[in-house]
Amino acid sequence: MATIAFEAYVGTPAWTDIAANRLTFSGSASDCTVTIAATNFQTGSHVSNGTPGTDQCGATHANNVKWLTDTTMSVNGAASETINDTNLADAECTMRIHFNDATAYAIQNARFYCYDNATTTAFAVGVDVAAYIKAATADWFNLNDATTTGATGWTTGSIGGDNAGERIDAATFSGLNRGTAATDQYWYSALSASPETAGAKSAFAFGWYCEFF
Amino acid sequence: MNQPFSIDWWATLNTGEIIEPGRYRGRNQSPWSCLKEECEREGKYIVDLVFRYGQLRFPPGANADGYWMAGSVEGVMGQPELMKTRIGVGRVEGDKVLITWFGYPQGVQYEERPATDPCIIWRDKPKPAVEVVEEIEPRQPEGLWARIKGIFK
Repeated sequence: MATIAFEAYVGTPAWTDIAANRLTFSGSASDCTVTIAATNFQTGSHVSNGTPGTDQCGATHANNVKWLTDTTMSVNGAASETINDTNLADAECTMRIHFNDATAYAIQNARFYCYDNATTTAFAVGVDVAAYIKAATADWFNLNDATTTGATGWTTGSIGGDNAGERIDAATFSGLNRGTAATDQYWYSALSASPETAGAKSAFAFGWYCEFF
Repeated sequence: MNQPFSIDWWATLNTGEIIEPGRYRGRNQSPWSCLKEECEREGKYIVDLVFRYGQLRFPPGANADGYWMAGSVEGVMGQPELMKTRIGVGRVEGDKVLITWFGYPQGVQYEERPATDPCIIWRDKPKPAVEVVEEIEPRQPEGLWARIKGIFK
């Protein structure tokens, strides 16, 4: 049976299924409970069991890739660099999506979106989210921009959900497709988030869809 | 996590061969992809297809312009129990593909979309979406260009 898993590079470290945990963005590289100031992007990325819940990362926290501008990033607190497939190693990504089946399949019509954790076409509430998927997007993609409040460049509003133009999809980013069949297919991604207002944001989740043949 | 499924089918080719997935057992890609590759390599095409889903037999219809088959999987982070899988089969009519999806918990769903997906096994090679007209410019050998211009005088 085909499955997908969202995995973070944590623990030993190794790519580990987030499973029923969550990816939590916080204001600290080592503490998932530290809040992020409104309209700032996160300092730490973590696997935790709630909002924020208790950290489940183990010895190594999830990689933190912070949005600086639409073309630059900071990886685990390092200086600014251009976001591209060369500068962002696989093992530096925030998470990867893992497709698996016993049969080797090619992939078409993949798409990645951010939504409100209830209705897949609705934008996540109170957050701005940048995403980058290796071999697909050229630089950061504005995956969610809830309202006109936000950092510079994040004031459009009503952006997000599983909607054309508001998600990363193969129609626009053909690199999401996989023409070569394999039993395991991976998409490596950087994710960066900013609260538009103070307080925890839980109406916020990520989804993935793909077809295999 | 939802119901497991298997993609099962048999296809009748223009050569009269009846192909089942077991023909391609042990290959490094899916049986449908193997069939697609064989058809493209050997100039064969499907004239009829029967899709099998549990006890259900579903024929999308004979003599289509092409046939479409794929599975889909959708999931959301942190809620693996909400993962949804489907299998779909479709027939190409002109520039559209008409897909019937079978899945749990979604049941049967119908979808029409442009016939552009790489999983399609075409009756003939796909036609380009936009007709390409070769442009002849004056850099062609002068005599040829003069003759072409002469035709349209």
